Amino acid sequence: MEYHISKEAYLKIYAHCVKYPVNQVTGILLGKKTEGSPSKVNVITAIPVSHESVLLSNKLEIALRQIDIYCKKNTLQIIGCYHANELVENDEIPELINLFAKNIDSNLSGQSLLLMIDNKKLIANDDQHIFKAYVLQKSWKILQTITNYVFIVEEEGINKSKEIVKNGSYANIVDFDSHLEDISLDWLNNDKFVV
Amino acid sequence: MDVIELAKPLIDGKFSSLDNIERYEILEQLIVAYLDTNEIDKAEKYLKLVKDKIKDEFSSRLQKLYGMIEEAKGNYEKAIEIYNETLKVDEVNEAVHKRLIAVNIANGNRTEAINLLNKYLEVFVSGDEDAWLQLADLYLLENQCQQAAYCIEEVILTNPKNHLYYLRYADIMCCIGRYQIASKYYCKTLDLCNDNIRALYGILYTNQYLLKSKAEDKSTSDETIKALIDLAKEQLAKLYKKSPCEEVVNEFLKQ
Repeated sequence: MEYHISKEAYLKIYAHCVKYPVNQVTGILLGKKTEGSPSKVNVITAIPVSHESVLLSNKLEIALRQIDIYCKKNTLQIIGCYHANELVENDEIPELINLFAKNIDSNLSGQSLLLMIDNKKLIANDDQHIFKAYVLQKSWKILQTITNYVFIVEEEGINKSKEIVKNGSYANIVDFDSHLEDISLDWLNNDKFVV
Repeated sequence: MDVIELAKPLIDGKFSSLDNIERYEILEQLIVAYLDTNEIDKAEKYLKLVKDKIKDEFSSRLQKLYGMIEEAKGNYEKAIEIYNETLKVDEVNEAVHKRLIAVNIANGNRTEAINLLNKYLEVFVSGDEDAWLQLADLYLLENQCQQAAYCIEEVILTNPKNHLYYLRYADIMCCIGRYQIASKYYCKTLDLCNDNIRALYGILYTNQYLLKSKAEDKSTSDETIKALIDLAKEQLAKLYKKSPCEEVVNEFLKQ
């Protein structure tokens, strides 16, 4: 089983986290799942959803329904979700995210991905990626601890992440929350966020 | 960042020529800005200027800054100690009370933060909207939606013209499945701010749900519900005319 995170997805997630350093942020992973040996899950892009409380879930549902339509238009699948907690020390999976990610998993009939952002790595800003990757095997298990599971983040994404912080282009990323304030912002494509 | 750019040359170059009160106000802002950008050593350097000025006299304001430096370093326990000590001397210092609450939130002591906030709102101004909103957020994190709703009722009473409060209340009602009330509050939001996208989505969402639910769970007629759905769809379609997401949303509205 191989999981691959594209440069585009990595940078969008990274920018989303950096833009809202004191908030929790949540988003959706889009890509393709291919069977075979080894089976592959390619995360091609990410759609930032929220930087406010996700507890109020009707918003999440509306966002998901629109993402679904977007996926059909672009022949993509919802592969999983990502979430960063508000507090640096807190690396738990919040209950709502747990339910939400499980829901995505059953829709995909397994092999979905939950990326929790490791806030400490985000602060450290070194050469490692910022994820704690989980897959659902009865409960959420850290992906790297499972034999025959590989998790790859495109190297160039990690390299470029420092650049988008320096030149300020991370500020161009928009999520569904900002879209609700100003619907001229394209949260689905994030065209203005060029890397 | 902007604060640093503007305040630093003032403090470095023209410190003595600034007005006596003004310069310390700028200095305080500069120190806080450095804490925000995690440049703690610089904050400490500038704090020394203040310390030199007031020598051994007690100042809650200075103590607050010391506490904030400990917070920035991640020494939450130490910061809590400083704030508690300060409050022993200066019991009614609002800013220090607020810091104490904030540090408890940062430290993950949500229950303690809720206690302190409740006490704060009892003792001080009960019209402190930010404090109520913060308390509501904490309750939501604890999944105590009823209490959160109560907090929002308080801010609506304080400031009945702010549409965002009605919106928040509706969201919470939606969360606990009281779609009928939620719908009413979304409508009120729209009444006060007639192109509010969140309210329109809210009206659409709650009424689509109400349409499917049993008669005893709703107090409005199906005609009204349908009319509200149509209104929301129509408005959304109109507002999305120039949006880059128009195509997706149009399809969404057909569902």
